[in-house]
Amino acid sequence: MQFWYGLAQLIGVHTILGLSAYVVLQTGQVTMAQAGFLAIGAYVSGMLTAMSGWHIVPALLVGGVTAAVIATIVGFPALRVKGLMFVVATIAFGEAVRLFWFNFTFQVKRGGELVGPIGGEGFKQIRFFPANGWTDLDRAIFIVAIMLIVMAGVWWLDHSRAGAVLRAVGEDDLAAQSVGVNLTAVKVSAFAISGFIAGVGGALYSHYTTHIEHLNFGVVLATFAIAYPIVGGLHNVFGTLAAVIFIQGFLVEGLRFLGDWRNLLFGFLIVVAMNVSPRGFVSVYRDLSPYWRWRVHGGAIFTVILVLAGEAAGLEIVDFVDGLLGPTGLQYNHFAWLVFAVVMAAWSWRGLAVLIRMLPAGLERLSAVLGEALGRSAVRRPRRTA
Amino acid sequence: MFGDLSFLDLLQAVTDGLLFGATYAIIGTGFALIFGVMHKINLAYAATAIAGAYVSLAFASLIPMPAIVVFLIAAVASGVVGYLIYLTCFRFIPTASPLATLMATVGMLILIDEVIVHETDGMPQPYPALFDNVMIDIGDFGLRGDLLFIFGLSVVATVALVAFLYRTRLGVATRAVAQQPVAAQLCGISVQRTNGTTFVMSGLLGGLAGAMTGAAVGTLSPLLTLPITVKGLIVTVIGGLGSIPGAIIAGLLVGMFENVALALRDVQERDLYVMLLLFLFLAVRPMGIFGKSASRD
Repeated sequence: MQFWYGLAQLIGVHTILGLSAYVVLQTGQVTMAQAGFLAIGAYVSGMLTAMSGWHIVPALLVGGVTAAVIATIVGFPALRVKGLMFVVATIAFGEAVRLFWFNFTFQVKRGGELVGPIGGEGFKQIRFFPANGWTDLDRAIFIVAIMLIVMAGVWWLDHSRAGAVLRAVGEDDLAAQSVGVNLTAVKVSAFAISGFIAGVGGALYSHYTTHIEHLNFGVVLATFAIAYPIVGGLHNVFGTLAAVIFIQGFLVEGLRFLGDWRNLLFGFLIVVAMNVSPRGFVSVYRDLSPYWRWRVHGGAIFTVILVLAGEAAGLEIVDFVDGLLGPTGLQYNHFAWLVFAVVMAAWSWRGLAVLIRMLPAGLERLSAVLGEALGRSAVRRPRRTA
Repeated sequence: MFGDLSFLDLLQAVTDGLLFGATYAIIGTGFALIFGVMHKINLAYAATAIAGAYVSLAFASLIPMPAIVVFLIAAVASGVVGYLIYLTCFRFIPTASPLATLMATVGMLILIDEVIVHETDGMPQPYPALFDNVMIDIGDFGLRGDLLFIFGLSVVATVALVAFLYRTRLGVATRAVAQQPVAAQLCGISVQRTNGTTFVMSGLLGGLAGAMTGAAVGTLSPLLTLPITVKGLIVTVIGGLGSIPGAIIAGLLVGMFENVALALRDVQERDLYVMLLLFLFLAVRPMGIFGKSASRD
């Protein structure tokens, strides 16, 4: 059970990170600054709760606002360039933020011990959750609730006039400019919003891990941040969530039993995912017929309701599944494989059906080609009818 | 500002940096070549370079061979890996989804890195160097033989690339596709084959650069890929997107700047100064040294 709560927290934090990159990607810019914003939120809010004794909610907001302010300041010069140059500029910004925390030491005495970030050693005592007696379930609910709020906010942004402006800039900034959109204002606002979201995510991250250091916020994390929305698709926020579940829940946690091979499969599956669904998971979903959409929807909602209702009724369904898997030596890992296989089968079923329908024609064509290659018709060609 | 650094030390640092910058110049050229032809970023490029160097190392451990052959094997192996990257990340992904291509190259970067870690158990491997015991002394000032060799090799590689682009039919085709893919296609040039050739060419360059990095540093490690990727991107941006002469000058400049920063300060701060150089360029000349003022992507 512990494991599932941990997984929910992990997915919550990473979804928020992915959504922060999602907002900037809507304007057509690939940002590598998200890890930097995450670090700012993480350190600032951590300092507020651990050193000044704040409650986590105001600390969360202050962390977000700080990151947003810095995003605005950086956004004006950085958004003068675009495309590859923006990528490189934001990589440089992220690294600069990381190196700042690497050299930043500030400690105060609190409760008989020194607390605060120590340069390269990191920031160790962010113990708001354990100090206030929050259980794992409380944390998971809190983080997932914040994630849902952020998702709802970005969803609303997508469907508002502002979202339309963001997408217009992303599709063709020249066209957007010619109908009177102020490009700088739009891009910097998107950057500031993404900074705020990443700052909140960082605040959750530091409190959930209780120990942060500068190495956590490198180029790799920035790459993950843009990977979620790209792999999931930029149609709507659920793609990001799906991609986080796919990457963190399946590729990272689910494949753990593969040991060393997991890392090999990780890169490979990303390449496969991008070849199979270049516009993201959401586009695959959108291409489904209503019947299959209903099955995906209905299946997911039904399962969640069933599990939640069972838990509420004290049936301990998740523990029950764990218990079922326990004696067989199977664990979540294998379970995740199973779920993944079922989902993939459901997705590829249509493809399989098409293949089966195409099979007779394909065989015919193959035999014709073979026949030609053999010089004479080894196989009787189908007669053309007028 | 220079502390206890004499003029001669500074000159030494500048020279060593310039010579080592040749590897950055080659990597930057490879990035610029792909960006110039396809207008897309191949983030797996530095990984290609390192992969080639590792393959050559594997051959060298099987059969003893002179270091120059090792370099050539590295180039060929990287060419093959470059073509594989073209197939997996560019060939079958629609042009309209540049983000998917970008992400796929990130996936390849991770995959190549992990294959290397898997094969070598993550241990750094010693790499053979040429002329590493040669030292040309001019008074207190010295030129490292291995760095000179690297510099010479990169000059040869660059001349070969320019000859390819301007003296062969395939080179003309490559430039035509870079300029206007649709028009090139109307003239009967296969865009896909040309793109594939570009990846092989840039892979050959990358393999040389990977071998050169290995020879200059003395060891090969999968940890090299990320810094080289970032440096290569910085070089491409400073030089101007898709500009080969720009990439060469920027590569030498970054190498020199980095080495001077290393001599003046210490190794932890070195990369910070390279970032500052980048910021300077983005602020003063955002299109890079040789870039056209980019009004549209």
